[in-house]
Amino acid sequence: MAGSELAGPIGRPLDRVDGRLKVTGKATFAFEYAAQGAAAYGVIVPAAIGKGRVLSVDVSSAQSAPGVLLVLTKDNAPPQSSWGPVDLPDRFARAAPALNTDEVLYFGSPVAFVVADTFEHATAAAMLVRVRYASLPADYDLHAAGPQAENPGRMNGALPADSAVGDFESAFANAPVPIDAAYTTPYQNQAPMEPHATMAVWDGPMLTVHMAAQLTTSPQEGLARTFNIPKENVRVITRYVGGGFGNKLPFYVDATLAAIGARMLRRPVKVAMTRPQMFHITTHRTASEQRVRLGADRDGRLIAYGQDALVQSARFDIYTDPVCGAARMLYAAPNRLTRHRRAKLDLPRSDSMRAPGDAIGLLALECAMDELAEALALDPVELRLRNDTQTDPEANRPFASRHLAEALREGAARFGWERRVAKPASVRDGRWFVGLGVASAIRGDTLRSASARAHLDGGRLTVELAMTDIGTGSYTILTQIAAETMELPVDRVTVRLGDTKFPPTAGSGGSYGAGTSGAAVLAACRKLKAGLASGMREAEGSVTPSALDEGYSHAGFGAHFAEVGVDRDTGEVRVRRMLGVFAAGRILNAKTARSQMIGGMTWGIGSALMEENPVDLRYGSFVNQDLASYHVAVNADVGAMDVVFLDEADPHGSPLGSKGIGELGICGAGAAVMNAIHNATGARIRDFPATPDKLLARLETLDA
Amino acid sequence: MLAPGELIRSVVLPPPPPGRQVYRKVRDRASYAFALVSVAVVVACEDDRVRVARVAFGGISYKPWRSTEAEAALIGATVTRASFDAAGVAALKSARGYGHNDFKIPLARRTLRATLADAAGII
Repeated sequence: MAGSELAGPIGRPLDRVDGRLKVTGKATFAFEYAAQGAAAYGVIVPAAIGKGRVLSVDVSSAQSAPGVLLVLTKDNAPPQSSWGPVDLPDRFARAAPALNTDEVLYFGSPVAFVVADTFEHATAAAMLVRVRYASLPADYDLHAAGPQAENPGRMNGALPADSAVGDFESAFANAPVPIDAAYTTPYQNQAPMEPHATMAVWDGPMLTVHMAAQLTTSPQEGLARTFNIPKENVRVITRYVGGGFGNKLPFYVDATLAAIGARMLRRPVKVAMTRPQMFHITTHRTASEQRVRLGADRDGRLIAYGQDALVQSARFDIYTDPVCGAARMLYAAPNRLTRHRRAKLDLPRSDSMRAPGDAIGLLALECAMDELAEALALDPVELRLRNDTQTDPEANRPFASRHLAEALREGAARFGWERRVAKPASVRDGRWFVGLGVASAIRGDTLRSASARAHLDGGRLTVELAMTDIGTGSYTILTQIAAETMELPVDRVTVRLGDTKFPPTAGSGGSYGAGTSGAAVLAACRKLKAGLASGMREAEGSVTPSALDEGYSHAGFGAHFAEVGVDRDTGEVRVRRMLGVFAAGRILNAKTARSQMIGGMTWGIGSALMEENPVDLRYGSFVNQDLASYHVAVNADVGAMDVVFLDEADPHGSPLGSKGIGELGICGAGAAVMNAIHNATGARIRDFPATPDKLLARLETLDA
Repeated sequence: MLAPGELIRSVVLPPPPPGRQVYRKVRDRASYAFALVSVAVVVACEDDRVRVARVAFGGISYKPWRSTEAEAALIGATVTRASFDAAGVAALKSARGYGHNDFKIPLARRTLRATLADAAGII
């Protein structure tokens, strides 16, 4: 951007422009829309087995229950396209039929759907549906399926599953200082505050769905594919979304069933999943088994660098979490090997969850780096500095900008890293063992395609695009970009999002949302500004992935520092302080960006200390199905958090100079906490999360 | 047994024994979680000896579990972490784990030790 624009709105900590609407209850979420005509309420009846067939569904009691308008099963559901195609390039635009088969593919999948005049009537009637099943033998156990896991070839149509440089095996075998460590990470659920919900309305051949979604054009295409109707006949509206974290990239059967119900009843139908249903009917983060092998020379330079990951996919899907993706870009080493193996299980679908792949891959890799530092008797910050690189070690091209070393040094200075005592269990504060930990952060940066329309009318600018704001601040940063480009005060700009009537975008996901939609708004406003003198009042602008210079690798970087206390008797861990220093390009809004980072770091605390969902291997169900038993970090778990952004200009980056930040904050955060636990106690916990039970053995030895 | 039409209006507790009362709840996260183990104690000490002790555990059985074994071990014991640990050993002598909850036995002992130390004012 030109120097004259430095004083403009971009970057300022502008309050969310939709903040007042949200805190006063005036921001309308999908389920809250008043319909044209009274809406009926649909409730999903979930399968009570993990794999098998529905033999029969007795709907007689449900059908005659008060207020019931429709009971839908496989026996009377309308024809729909079958699921998929599974390998569709845009997997979020696949057809998602409901009640189209008697097969039960995972626990909790819909087997009936009840619509009534009220939510209460529908809920009561749903309990009266009687289903008989025939169960089939099933595979629910990731560890047991490991030996039969497949090589997926390519992961999700993009990265290859395997990568190799040099001769890893012989380099590792001959490395003076080797580390060979196995880690596991558990299933996690995104658990957004707003449940998945849809209100569907038909007007002749036109279907309008108000839904909780991260994307707009993909569910539009997917619903059209499901019902075999033109895409133009589907309108998706998603103005406000209460959290996504990857969980609202796909659309689900709430949308499909709401649309079917609305069509059959000729009135609007609303469907919201219950919290327990969300744990099965939507996607989750795969559990993983990982092996990290690092071989270094005595100076701490990596000679051999390897990471293997085993992940889960639903049997009817092909998603492969790219666990080792971060490793491929993070450190230099001449001999490298990464491999992903996929086990198809009879469980719900795994798919993207905040920083898919990287979030759990870095838990293992950055803990292994800590183990290597200890084996070398080298400071963990110094080890990372010695293996830093300005060249992407597997793509063999320079990074457009990479300030990992600066983030590590700045963080170490600010955090008081020099006070760390290398010998574990050396520092006590009353009943607490105290330790410090560090980890690197990296998240690849991408741009997608998007377009936007800007319209000037009497000194007011309206910007429209089919982007979403899932709580991240899209409305706000797009307002800032438009205001700065048009040299207007921010209160003269209205940004309208979340409607497929507007120019298409790639929505919110993969940290590309702000950069991509922002670049489209920038282009539209620049065009409009240039045309003002000749009378132009409206312009469209767009961006494509090629706006990122392909001669470079693009990623954001950072460093996490954590101080924990471990109760010497009980093994309870408290994060006392945490600092994240990030080099993530131009920051579009200092306040919303900081919030993104704090959110990611908090999730890192959860990943390190408490978040997990075990599978009940008898039934193929996730054990935790509510927010009382599925533990995410609560306020009392979060100590003093600090976030620092380094000034970073990226001459080869996106048109705005920004990088994705939505996922960078979680990358490495949990490893810093785990490494701090090691420094505090000497315990190496390789099975995440570090609940108190896993620390007791170590604490018993420290008693002596 | 309540007869039809009756309801409980109040419960009268006997006066507590003299001493400090401390309750400790160990959880997988800092708040809003079930107890892995909880411990409630009443302790009075005099001349570096425990004179009064009441001990109950939560989270280790189907009901709150008073440990007269721990209480007996504590009466007259020295005010040290070692004797508090021994009280936990006495309390859990016949405790049995089922694999997934084996950790609760050492955790209960250690939590009792910490709670008694807190009540007695030692670290």
